[in-house]
Amino acid sequence: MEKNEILNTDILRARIAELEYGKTEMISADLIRRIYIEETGKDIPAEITVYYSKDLNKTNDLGKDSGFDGTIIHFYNAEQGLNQSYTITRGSENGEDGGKGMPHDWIYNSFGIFVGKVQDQYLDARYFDKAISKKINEKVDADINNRKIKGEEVNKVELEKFGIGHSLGGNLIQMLQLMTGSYKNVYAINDAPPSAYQLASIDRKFRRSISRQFNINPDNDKELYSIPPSQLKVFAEKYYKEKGKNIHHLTAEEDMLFAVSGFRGFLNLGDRKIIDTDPGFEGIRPALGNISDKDLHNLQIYLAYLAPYYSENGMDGLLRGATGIDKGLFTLIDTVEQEWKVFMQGPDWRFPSINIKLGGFPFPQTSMDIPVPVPIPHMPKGLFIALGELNLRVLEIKTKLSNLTKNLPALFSILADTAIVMKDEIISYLKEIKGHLKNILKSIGNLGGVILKDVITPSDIRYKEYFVGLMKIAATIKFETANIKEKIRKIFEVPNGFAEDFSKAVEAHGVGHVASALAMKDGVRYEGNDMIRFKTESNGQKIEVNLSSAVRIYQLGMDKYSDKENVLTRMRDIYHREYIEDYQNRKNELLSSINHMESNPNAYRFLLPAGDVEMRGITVHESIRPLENSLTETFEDAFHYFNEEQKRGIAMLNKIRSSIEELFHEDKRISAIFDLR
Amino acid sequence: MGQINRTYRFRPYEDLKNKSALFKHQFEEMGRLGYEMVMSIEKELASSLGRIVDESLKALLQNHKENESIINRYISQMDLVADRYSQNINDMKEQSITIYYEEVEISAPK
Repeated sequence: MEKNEILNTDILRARIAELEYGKTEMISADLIRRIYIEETGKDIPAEITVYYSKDLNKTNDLGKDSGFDGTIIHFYNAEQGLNQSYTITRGSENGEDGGKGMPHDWIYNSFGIFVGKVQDQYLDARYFDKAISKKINEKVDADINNRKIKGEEVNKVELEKFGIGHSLGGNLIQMLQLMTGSYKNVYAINDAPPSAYQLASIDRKFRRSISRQFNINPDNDKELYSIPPSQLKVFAEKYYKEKGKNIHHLTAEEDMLFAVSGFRGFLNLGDRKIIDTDPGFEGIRPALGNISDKDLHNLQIYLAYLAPYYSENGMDGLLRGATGIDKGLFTLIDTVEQEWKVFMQGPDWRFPSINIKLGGFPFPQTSMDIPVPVPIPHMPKGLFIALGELNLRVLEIKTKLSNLTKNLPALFSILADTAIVMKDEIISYLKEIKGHLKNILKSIGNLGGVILKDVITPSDIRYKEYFVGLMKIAATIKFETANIKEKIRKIFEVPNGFAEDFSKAVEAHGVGHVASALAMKDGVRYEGNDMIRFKTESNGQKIEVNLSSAVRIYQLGMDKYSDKENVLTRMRDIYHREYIEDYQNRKNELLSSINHMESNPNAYRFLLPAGDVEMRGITVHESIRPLENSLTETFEDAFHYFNEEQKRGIAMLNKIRSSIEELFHEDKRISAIFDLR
Repeated sequence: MGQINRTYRFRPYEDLKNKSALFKHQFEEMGRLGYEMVMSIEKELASSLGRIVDESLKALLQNHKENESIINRYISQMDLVADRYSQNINDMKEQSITIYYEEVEISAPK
């Protein structure tokens, strides 16, 4: 690890990686600064700029959403020669757009990593990293030039790049390092390891090496997946040993991905620190230990067959690839129904001539064709096309479902090999699903082929039979897919110990959980982006304080009281200007006028009565009341009140601060955490 | 010498009641700052911060509630204050004066 790395502890890196998920608020320079202060008790010695992958207009050449999300943080201080960036590739999310969208990440885990057939997230990550690194270098160059023009003696320090990734993000950042070698260090937290199949798909040189080493055609999935996994692992780890030497893993013993990292193809590169985050739980690794490689191999081949469907059309494509069924099918059924209704309301009739052969009795030696007009309903073009499409789709469903049912035994076998409690119940549901799939296949039967042959011969008049047959199949598909969904729901409701263990393994997978486990010994845990300090008193009572929240309240409260003080000052100024000074000015003006009148009475001759009179003088009996006491008292009272309220509020905020400082007096950082921002 | 006692308005009448608006705005600003602080505190209190902090914050919230009613009282007083000031100033502009004069005999032309 570099001595001068800004994010120089596992906890700091884990917290920043957690921040990248943006669960409560989007990662920002302020949040990064706050976390740095909380962990170090010091201000961050650099300007921070955050770059988001979503801000790039174009993420890959395909122009599709691969599900990739990432952030690059740039720390820069020209005077101190600090120029570092951290590329953070986000881990798996249950669905894009905060869980509402498609589960691209988990699909990528299967197709991109385990099978090595989809590259889109890796390509997007590489594009993002390259584009932002270029941007940073241009920005730094411009800054150094400006400084030189101003006469500063500064030299450009090359950008030092680091990588952090959690879960799927851990896989992506390792892949970037293995393919580009551009990071000084890469930190993979509870990562999905790179797989030899993934690397064979992306790294041409490695693919050629595999070909030479194992004498296979690596473009042939069956040959590639047939290489004994242990031999492939040894070869691949040796091949990437040098490139992977700066990869540092931080792994929770109970992590779910760590549990499957022994499966075929997964590689272990760099060094690894394993932490026990839950001493009472040994993880789900033992429950998965008996899964046979043969079953995984079969699953892998089936998934490799499905991968192109996902690459082409995402989740819809995947469903279509596996079953032949997708949203489009149900739209097509609706179209056929609509067209049929239109047709039944009154078809156009046509009268084509059909030649009828006449011959035989009573003239056996002669025969002739006589054209006879026969009424045939004119089939609308729309209905004809829709029926044809539906028929083709039915044939597709038949083929895909046959393939899926053939592969289900591998899934049953994988499940049977685990130590999952209630697995028999789950298997029984899976068998019922298989039964529903077979019902669909049975309903299709041979009808599809027959219809296909006839529908392409438009003169045939058995259209009603075709329509009824196809709609019966469509109804069966609708009915059975609803049954399948219900069985899937029941599988997830099966009470079993594995579900509990699995949820623990999922929890252990979380990057926040890792950070908490690391900080536990120091009386710290994390909730979201917040730091919780705790300690047990001598009487056994556990005291917990959300330090991040307390600091936020303290700083915000102080800011508000500072703003209130400004308002109070402004109010005093206005009071003086509008009442005290205004009164005085008006009084002075009046006295001046009185003085003028008394000194220049002739100027006021217009006040004299009519007639021959001469002005002799004017006396003003001035009566000027002072500013009313009630007015000055009202304001003085208000100013006093706000002054006191200010003191009380600040005292309360300081009490919060001092009680926390006293409670954790051994930690000198706390005081700085309250002060710095 | 004759004299006349009367009042004289040295400056025209002015309506100064609108001075209250300037102060109302400042009091409202004071109230807004307090409200924003309370909203932030309540948001933070939604997830427990720990007993020590919670108690101090509840005291801070109580402080703000009292503050709110006092601010409202001051806001309503501002109209009264401006009204009386306006009256005071306009009264002041009118003063009692005594004018002294002499009647002049005009001699008939010869």
